[in-house]
This record gives sequence, C-alpha cells and structure tokens, in this order.
Amino acid sequence: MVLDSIKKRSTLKNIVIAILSIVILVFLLSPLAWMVITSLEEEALMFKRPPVVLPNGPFFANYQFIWVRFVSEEALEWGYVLPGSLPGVLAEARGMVQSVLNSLVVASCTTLVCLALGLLAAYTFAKVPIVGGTKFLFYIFVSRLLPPIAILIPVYTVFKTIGLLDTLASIILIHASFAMPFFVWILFVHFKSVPQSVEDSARVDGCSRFQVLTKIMLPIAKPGIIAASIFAFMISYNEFIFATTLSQSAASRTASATVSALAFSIGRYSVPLIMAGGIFAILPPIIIVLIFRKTILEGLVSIFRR
Amino acid sequence: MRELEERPKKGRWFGKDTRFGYLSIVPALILMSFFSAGPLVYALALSFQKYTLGAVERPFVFLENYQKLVESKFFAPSLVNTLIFTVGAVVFVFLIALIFTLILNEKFRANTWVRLALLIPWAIPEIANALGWRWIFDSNWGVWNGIVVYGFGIFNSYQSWLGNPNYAMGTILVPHIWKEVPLATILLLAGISTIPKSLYEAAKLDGANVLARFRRITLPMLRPIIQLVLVYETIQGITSFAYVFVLTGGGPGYTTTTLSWLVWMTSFSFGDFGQGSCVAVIMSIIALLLTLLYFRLLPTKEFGAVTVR
Amino acid sequence: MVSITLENLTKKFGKVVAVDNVNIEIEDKEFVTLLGPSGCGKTTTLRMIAGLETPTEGKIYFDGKSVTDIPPHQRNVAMVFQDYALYPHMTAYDNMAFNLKMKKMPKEEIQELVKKTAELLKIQHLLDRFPAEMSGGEKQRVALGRALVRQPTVFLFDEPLSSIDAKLREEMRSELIKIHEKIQTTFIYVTHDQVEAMTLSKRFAVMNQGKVMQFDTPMNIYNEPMNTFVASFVGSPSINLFTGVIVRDSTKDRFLFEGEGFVYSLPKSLKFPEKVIKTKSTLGVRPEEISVVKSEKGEGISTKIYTVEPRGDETILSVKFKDVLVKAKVEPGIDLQIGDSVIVTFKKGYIFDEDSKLLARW
Repeated sequence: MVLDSIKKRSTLKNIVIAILSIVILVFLLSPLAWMVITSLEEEALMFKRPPVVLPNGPFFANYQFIWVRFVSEEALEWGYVLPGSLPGVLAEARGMVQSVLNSLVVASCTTLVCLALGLLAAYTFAKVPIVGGTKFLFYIFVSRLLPPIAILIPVYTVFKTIGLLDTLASIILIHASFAMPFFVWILFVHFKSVPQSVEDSARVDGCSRFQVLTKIMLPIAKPGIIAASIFAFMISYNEFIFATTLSQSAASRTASATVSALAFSIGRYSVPLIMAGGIFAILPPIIIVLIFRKTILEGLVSIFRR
Repeated sequence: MRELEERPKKGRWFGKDTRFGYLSIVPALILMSFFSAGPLVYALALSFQKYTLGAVERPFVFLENYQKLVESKFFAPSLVNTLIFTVGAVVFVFLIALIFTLILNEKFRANTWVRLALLIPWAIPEIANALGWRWIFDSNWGVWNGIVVYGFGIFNSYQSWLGNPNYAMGTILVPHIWKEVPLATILLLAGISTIPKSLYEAAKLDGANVLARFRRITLPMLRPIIQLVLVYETIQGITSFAYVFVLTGGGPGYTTTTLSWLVWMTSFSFGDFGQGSCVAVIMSIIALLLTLLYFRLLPTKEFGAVTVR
Repeated sequence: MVSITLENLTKKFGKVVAVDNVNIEIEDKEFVTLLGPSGCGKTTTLRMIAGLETPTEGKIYFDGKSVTDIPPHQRNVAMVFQDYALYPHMTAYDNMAFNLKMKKMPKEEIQELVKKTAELLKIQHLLDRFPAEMSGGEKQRVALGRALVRQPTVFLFDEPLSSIDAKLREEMRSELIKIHEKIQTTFIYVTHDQVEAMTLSKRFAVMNQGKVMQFDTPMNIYNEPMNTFVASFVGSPSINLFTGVIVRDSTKDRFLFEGEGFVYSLPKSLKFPEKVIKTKSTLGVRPEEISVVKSEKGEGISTKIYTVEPRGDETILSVKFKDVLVKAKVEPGIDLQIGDSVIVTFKKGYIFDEDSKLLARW
C-alpha cells in the first residue's frame, strides 16, 4: 500500500522528498554524532583546524577510563593515564558512572511516586463525579506553567532549613511535582477514552468501585500507564536546575549535575574525555527511547484522542 | 452523545463515592501545592526581605529589593533578551517544525527511522545538549567554525560565536531550537494524521491548489494542536536556562542575560536571594499572564479532554 | 425472576428533571419495553433499576423488597449495552465468565455454563477471540451471552440493536423473543424504535420528558392512545394530526370537525359535552384508516392526489387539505395518479382535547 502511494507521485517529487528527509535526518542526528565522534578521538587531535574526523580509528580509552575508574579504585594505581592528556585529576569524569546511577535511582523513584499518587488521581478525575473535580484537575495542569527556576530559591531555602538539602529524597520530591501534571494528563486522557458502558458493565457484573479499577480499568489502560511512567522517568532524568542546586557532594550528584561540571571544564581538561562523560549520561534515556519508541510515540499522540 | 444528555458532569453522589474521590486526589494535590503554589507564595515573601547567602537575619525591606532590581543595569536587558529569545524560539521552532511536518507527512519507506530519530533530541538531557553545542561552537577548535570557514567559506577566520555580542543570542537559540523542533514536529504530525483525506479530495475537486488546501484545510484543522505547541514552546522559551548557563553565562556583558539567568545570577553569583526572589516573582507573573492571555484569545480551548473557558 | 415496581421514581441532574414521578409495576417473567425519543428518561430509568444511578426521590422494589439503596453489584441484574461494552482486554470466553468468576463459582461449572450459553447463541467459535477481532453482530451476541450466562433476576437492555444493520437486527429480534420464552425471566428493554416495542414486548411504556405517557399492551396503545404524543410516536407512517374545533351541525343531528381548510362530518355515534364545543381540539387519523376514492363528488373531503409512493406491499398516497399534507396507506396496485380528484373519508379516528388527551374515538 505504501508502494502504491509512492508510485502515484512523480519520480521527481519522490527524489525531492527523499533528499529533504535525509537533510532532516542529518539535522536531527549530527550534534549527537559529533559528540560521539569527538569522544572517540585522541586528545592531541583536538587542536586542529579544520577539525579532523577519526584519522586513526575509534579510540575507546576515554570510555574505558570512566568505566574502569568506577569499577575499581585500584585502576588509578595501575598507572592508567590517558595518552596525551593534561595531568590532573578529573573528578567529574571519574564520578560519571556513579552520577548516572544516582540519576537512575532518582528517576525511578520519581516514577514510583507519580504512580502512587497520580494513578488514582487520574482515574478519579476521569471517572468519578465529584464536586469541583474539574477545578482541581485544572490546578494540577496550571502548576506546570510556572517556570521551575522561579521556585528554585524558596525550595532551596526550605530544604536547607529542614536539612534535606544534600539528599536524593529532596530531588525525588521536586521531580515528582514536575512530572505529575504530564503523568496525570496522559492517564486522564486514557481513562476517559474507556467508554462509560464498560465500567457500568463491570459494576453490574459484580465489581465494587475499587474492583472496577483493578480488574478492568488498569489492564485496559496499561499502555497508557507505561507511556506515562516513561515520561515521568525522562522528565526526572533530564532535569537539571534542581538536581544541580540541591546536591552538594559527589555522592548525591545526579548525571545532570556532573555533566554541568564537565561543561565548564572544557578549557581545562581533555575534551574527548568530557564528551565521553556526556555520552555516558545520555546513554540511559537513549536506550529507553530505542526500546520504547512505539509506546512513547503512541503516548504523545494519545493526547489528541478524545 | 446520549451520555452527555442524560448524565451531566455535575452528578452528585454523596457518601462512599465522594469520600473515595477526594481521598484519591488529595495526596497529589498536596504534592503539587508544596512545589508550585507554596513556593511561589514563599518566594513572594522572600522578595520582600533582605536575604543574602549565609546571613542569619532576614529583615523585611519590602519594595526596596524591587527598586534596586528595576534600577539595575541588567534588569531592562534581561526583559528584552527574554522577549527576543522567546519570540525567536517560538517562531523558529514552529516554522521549522511545520516544514518538517509537511515533508515527513508523505509516506515513504524510511519513515519509521526518521520518526525514531525525532525522539532522540527529546531524549537527550538539556544539559548534555548544552555540553555538545558548547564544543561545537568553541571559538578555537569548534566544528561549527570549521564548517563555515573551511566548508562553505562564509567567513575567513574563526569567530567567537559565544563571545561576540552580535552572535551570542543567536548562538544560544540554536541548541534550544534543535532540541524543541522534533517534539513539535511529532505533535504536528499526530495532528495532521487526524485530518480526513476526504477533505483534501473534496477541495481538489473544488479547484483548490496546494497553497489553498494548506491555508484553508490544513491550518484550520490543526488549530488546536498549533495552539498547544505555541503555548508549550512559549513556556519552554521563557524558562530556558541551561544554554545561557553553560554557553554564555549571561554575557558578553548582559547581551544574553535572560530572566531565568538573572534569577541564578542574583542569587548565586551576587548572593542576594532577596533580589533573586524578586526576579522569580516577576518571571512567574509574566508566565501566568501570558498563559491567561492565550486562554482569553481562544474562546474554548480543549486541554486534553477537559474544556477550559 | 422477579416482579419490579417503580414507585414515584424521580431523578434530577441539578435543575434538569430527567425522570419525573414514574410509577410502573412490571410482572415477573414479563417482557417490557420503555419507548420514547432521545432524552425522554428511558435510559436513566433503566440505569436506576440497575443501580448505576441513585433516584432523587422514590423507590424501586424487586419482589416487594426495596433495592433502592443496594449497589449494582449486589442486585444480580444483567445489562446489555448499545455499544456492547465488552472488556477489550479479555477474550469472549473471559468476558462471559467474568461475572461468574466474581461470584467465585468453581471453574468446571463456569466452563459448563459458558459452553451451554455459547451453544444457545451459536458463538462457540468466537470464544477465544478478542472484541477487536469481532464484527458488530458478533460482539452483540457475546454481550448477550455475557448477560445470559449469569441467570440473573432481571435482564436490562439499553438499545442493544441500534448499532446493528437492518437485516441482522430482524434476526436478533426474533432470537430475543425466543430466548425470553425459553428462560422465562423478566426483560426490561429500552428503545426509540417503536417497531421493536410493538413486536417484542407484552407491554410497553411510552415516555416523554421524564414522564410515562401510557403503559399498556401494544394493541391497546395503538388503538387507544391516551394523547397525541403516544398516537404520533407509535405507528408508521405516523398518524395525521389536524388542529381545529368541534362544532354542532345545526341541520343534522351530528358534530362537525372544522380543521384548516376542510370540514369533516363526524359519525353520528359521537357525542360531545358543551364545554368541548368551539374549544381547540385535534383530530387524529392513522394513514391506514383513510379511504381514498377516485371521484369528483361525494360524502367526505374533496381534494387532489399530491404524491404516490408504491412500496410493493402497500402504497402511500399523500393529499393536501389546503396546506396540510396528509398521508394515506392504501392497497397496492390502486389506480391513482398525481393530480387525480379524489374523495377522502376516515374509517377510524381519534379526537383529542385542548390538552392533547384522548376525548373520543370511532
């Protein structure tokens, strides 16, 4: 069927579209590709005009350095030094793996919090008629419109006073509040799309309100729940402002914070190593997107299902 | 349709249902208030205090902070820069996304790969994106310079893209636009796919050419999605922070100081949390006003499945 | 197998009164229909019987016991919906077995019952399929099976055949009648299709704006409609209604109906009290009770044929009394053309008073 619509168009139009699509692909992938290429270069080659592209083949030492350092402290004592790198301890790059792990933990916990609080709320908004329900739903949506940076200082101050400042818990809570509106929105749309009659049928068939939720609504909304969870995870993982500000020590730093530190080190340390660190941080979300691309795309599209 | 007639939304059912309902939404509401309305009010309070980092006392000085802020040499530029950045972001993101949508709407074999590629910029953390572009725009060794000097010969020598007041603002727009366009494209593509083909066929029979079909069918039918995209990109534009933070630090001078950067600068560079809170309050008011404006301009706007008036 | 009583049943949504003081007694094992246009309250009434809505006022009794405060999952009613409402994530088998599983019936018993019901409805081949893989008719049968397998006290049907094509609808209708006879359980059926109401039910209620206009057997409703609404809702093509006044014919000892553009002599047997004379009345005549004779002169109304619609087994003619269009149903093969002069008489008719209530008929 696709072939038919291709045949219908003139060959010229086909070629034009193909070229334009390639242009778009280049647009979409080149910055990331350049980061990857840079991370695979030898450091000495950074200082060339024009820039070179892998003249001596991919050079994985940077990644090894980051990974090995995480795996064992002794690796440093093996005399593992990057060929040609500037001397000095690059704490940020070494700590990248730990930071990524922290980010994964934070993002997972954020997702769990959203599931715990948002799932039931979304169902109620969609199906249970309560007074003022629309207003509360609206309130949750509108909260997203606030610039996050505007509440940075108050949140920072409060957490400092409570003493939660350098913990992952504080980051998890604030991430959950960022993710909650999207989470509730996606699930709200999904629950609303289930016809009332299916729910009625279940109630007549012997389900209490709660059983309707567990036996009928949840299974039906499963794809939506997965999509919403992925979104919550991504929102948390990619968040930068609060993750950086609310963590002080290396132990509680998330990937975003470490990448930020890396970004400021460009003049001082090996660029390929820095890029490798960046790629490390990018890997988890990219892997998630590759695995769940269909669910994510459907989740985004489902916003328009009415 | 029958449902709406015989079961208007305001169905009251006291007793178990109402209790269940409120109980299930209260935790989420508490979380949201704690991190949206609550802090905003607190920020307002802080903006009236003299609050420097590490200070023990926080006396109330009321509008003094605001006065100092408005009179400072970075306030006016920050407003202008935020405006320029946001407008530039919204316009370019929308236009480019629209073009992409029209191109990608045509079905062809590699479609699935392109759609996958669209998700990648969305997946990348903002800060990692900033990192990548920081190196691309490096004034000494960056590949962007390499391309424009050696590749296309537009310039004779390497430029300082981030240090030159004329280029800085445009330069920080690039990573932002790059990251936002794919998501906007996905949304627009989803919207376009809901337009029935029969409308186009009818229009062709009525004698409409490509441009007319675009103007009179595609655009009007896409209106709700376009509204959504515009609102979303406006928020993204106003709140954009990472690129200023990493790439320019507000400079050179104050040419790329946006409101969000101003919050950071006053709070952590100058150590004046009180003033930072002032900027935060002003920023929030602007953001909320803008969205109110959007909602007023559109009589009924469907927010997912909730109608907002 | 219960008798159901609705007592002063009222349902308000805010200011809107959806169901207004409905009082009906349904006998055990009876097939009853609620008939009416959209928004008349029939579905809301059904939902209240199911327990999906709570009445604002009034009570519902099953076999004399009040069930008004009992939630739906404890009332043991089965319901078939217009959009089938099958659980999309379960196979047909699981859909049908669901309620039995909720009642914690042992697996072997469930299997037995589902198999038997599937055989009854001829859907054994569908048991392993998901709703998305079935056609509308198949889904409706599974929905029916889901209701049947439970052996509930009462079956509720909410316009179940509206989304099915015409031919299949007829088949399903006769099947429903056969099933009802077989299982001898109370059926309550909601529809806006008067043909369904007439053919399926022993008695049916005509509802409008939340009120029950008339609750009686099909023949009684057809022959003795209590008001103009009932008269015009039941019967196809619908009854011809003429507004006018009743006057005494001074010369002869009878009454005349003065409509718009015509005067008709009413049969001698009809007598009217003084207060009705000269007040607004409505004359109703069903198309099949109109006699059309090709002639220039005679007793009756003189007019010309306006349209002719041969339908095979009958022919629908229309004529005009001044500006009013009148439809008549006559034998097929009648020799009349557009423009022919005819004399029109009424074999049977109804007179409704100024409140649209039935006053007299012949």
